[in-house]
Amino acid sequence: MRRKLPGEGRTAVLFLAPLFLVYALYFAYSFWFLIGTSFTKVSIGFSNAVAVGWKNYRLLLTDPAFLTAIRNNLLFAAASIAVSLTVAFAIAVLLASGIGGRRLYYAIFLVPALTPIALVATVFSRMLQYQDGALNQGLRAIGLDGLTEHWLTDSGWAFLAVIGLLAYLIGLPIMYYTADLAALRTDVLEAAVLDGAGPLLIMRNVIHPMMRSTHITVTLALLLGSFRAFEVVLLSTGGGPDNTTEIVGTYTYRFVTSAGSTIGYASAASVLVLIVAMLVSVVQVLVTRTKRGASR
Amino acid sequence: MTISRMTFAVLAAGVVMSLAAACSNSGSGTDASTTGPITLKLWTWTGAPGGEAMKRAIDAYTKDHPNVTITNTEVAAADFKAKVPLALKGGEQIDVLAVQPSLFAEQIKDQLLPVSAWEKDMPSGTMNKFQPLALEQNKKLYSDGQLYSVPFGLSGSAVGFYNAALLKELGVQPPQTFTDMAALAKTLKDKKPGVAVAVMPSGADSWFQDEFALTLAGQNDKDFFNNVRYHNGKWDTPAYEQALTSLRKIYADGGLDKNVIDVDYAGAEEKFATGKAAILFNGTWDSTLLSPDFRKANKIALTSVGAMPVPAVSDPSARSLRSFLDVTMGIPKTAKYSKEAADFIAYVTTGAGADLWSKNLGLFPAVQGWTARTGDPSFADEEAGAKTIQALLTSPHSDRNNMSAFSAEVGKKVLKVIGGSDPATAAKEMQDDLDSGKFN
Repeated sequence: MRRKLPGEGRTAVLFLAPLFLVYALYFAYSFWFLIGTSFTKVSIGFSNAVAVGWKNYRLLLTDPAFLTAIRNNLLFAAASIAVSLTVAFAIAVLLASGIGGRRLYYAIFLVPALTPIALVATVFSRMLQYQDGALNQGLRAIGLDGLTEHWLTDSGWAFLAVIGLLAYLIGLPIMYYTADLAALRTDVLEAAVLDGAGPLLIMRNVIHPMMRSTHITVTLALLLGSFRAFEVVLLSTGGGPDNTTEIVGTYTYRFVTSAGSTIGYASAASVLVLIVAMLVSVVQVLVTRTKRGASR
Repeated sequence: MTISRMTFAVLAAGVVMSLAAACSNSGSGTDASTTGPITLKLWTWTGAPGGEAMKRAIDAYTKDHPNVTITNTEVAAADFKAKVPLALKGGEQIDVLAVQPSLFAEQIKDQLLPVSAWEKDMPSGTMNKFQPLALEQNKKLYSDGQLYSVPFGLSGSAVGFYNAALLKELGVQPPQTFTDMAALAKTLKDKKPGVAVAVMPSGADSWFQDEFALTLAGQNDKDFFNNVRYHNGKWDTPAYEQALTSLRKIYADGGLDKNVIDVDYAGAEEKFATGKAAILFNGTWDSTLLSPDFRKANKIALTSVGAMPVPAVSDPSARSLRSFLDVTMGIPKTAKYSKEAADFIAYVTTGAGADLWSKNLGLFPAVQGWTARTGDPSFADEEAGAKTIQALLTSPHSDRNNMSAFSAEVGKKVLKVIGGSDPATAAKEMQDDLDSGKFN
């Protein structure tokens, strides 16, 4: 490891200070404003605000739709993470193993992640419509009419449809894994091969544990990203049927874009989501620290 | 360096005059000039009445007023409620503002000039030209009973647009009841498999389900919505529960098609425009479908389209809709040219401009004596449809003075009822939501 030069820390602080200051001011002001607004009843014009104390928070915490939205956020994140740590990881390893037509496969998996999510969600929504959707049309064409479903209006299927859509967007985790696989120590893999380990064993017992830091990055990115999976839900199910697929983004959006004095309520929802997201991050940091400590 | 008293006096006078001139230009609804070239800044949202439609009126007005240029900032409808209050608060020059006749109007009231301040700048008698119902509805928008905007256009919901050529081919009259609808569905199944009896915005645009359920509720109790909206009436009344029960039964009996309840707004329009649905239920803002020119310009291949009220659950004479002002026009306090703005507003609301922007029937002007025309009298179904809609708009069962986010919430629950949930429980949940106070 390179030794620190005298005064290097101070120079770094000097260079970083302006950026930190801008960030600190930006976030401090945003949080202060958001928290202040959350205790009022006010419209988007932010004039004539009426103090309502904790009322907005009380309403939110007793609103089943909001609690469902938070739960859905976490469930969608869990599903996304599960798919990424298994399917995306396996795909990345396969692609890194020198499989033929690699570039084509990369394109197939990465293009959805690079396409605007709004477009992907709209196309999916059309594909899943009961009468003219491509999925049901396809099933009918091959005589499997009995398997057609109301994918977007049946609660259970709608929930799975959103998970399917999120799973389709695994390009980013594949990219993370691909980048880190390129830097993987090949001597360890060679040793495993010499010891007679098969491909599956190598993937599960050698590569997977060696990619632990990537798993953490992917998990954290997806977990926090799930709080911003707004377009996916809004343009596919609209949060329905009956809030089954509602997430906090779509829930808050309705109150922000509606007329009336609903901005205080939307701000309170945002503060609560912020707290949940921070708790998730803290838990994540603690868990990874504990594991790192144990592995030392 | 020394300055003589005379020079000082001249300089001081110059400074004072400059400041006075600057102050007179600093907004608050005062006029800067009435002679030189001026640019009026108009803000509307998409569909109010639409960029192309408004351009026709603007072009004609500016031709008659060569010193006036008008820029129309057309904001996406979904963003309008959020952007306008912030722009006004930021002091943005807006001379003419399309004011959404909902809670939004009251929300920005303090940033608008009262009509009494600029009424004198409109041609004499302008206020008497508005439809009395429209003026009455306009007054309901503001809690202090004053007018801060004037009526521009009306719309209502829900109505049906039918593929007249298809119904003629099948030998079927436009349905008057949902029993007729079920019969039409059966005929379609036999003779035109794959064509849905009706489609409407749903799925991700479930807010329209609220509109449709309220139209049915009006058949049971015409005062239902006004009671809720203006008199703190209950939402979970027997009349509303009955409407939900009827709706569920209509779907079960085939009068409406459960297989298309996942279709969103654009999808519903597309299905009807491509002949995959015999009837489209939507608001009267879709009356553009009655305009042959509009259909041609938008490559909609339907040869003949008619309009009808939403069919009755039982008694056809109960068919009606909720209507309300769709657009009103006001002058913000940030206006630079309030006098010219008032003149332009008079032109587009009660003057020749109303005929120009309403040519494609997206909105119906709120001026007395205006008659809906499709532009080509040889299209009999369209002509009759336009008149049907105008008649419905002028005799609604209640106001379509919506409660914004609450509509979306109700729409989802209506969909749940269509899926089989208990109407009474759903109505109770809606009541609880309304009582919570989070929607206003």
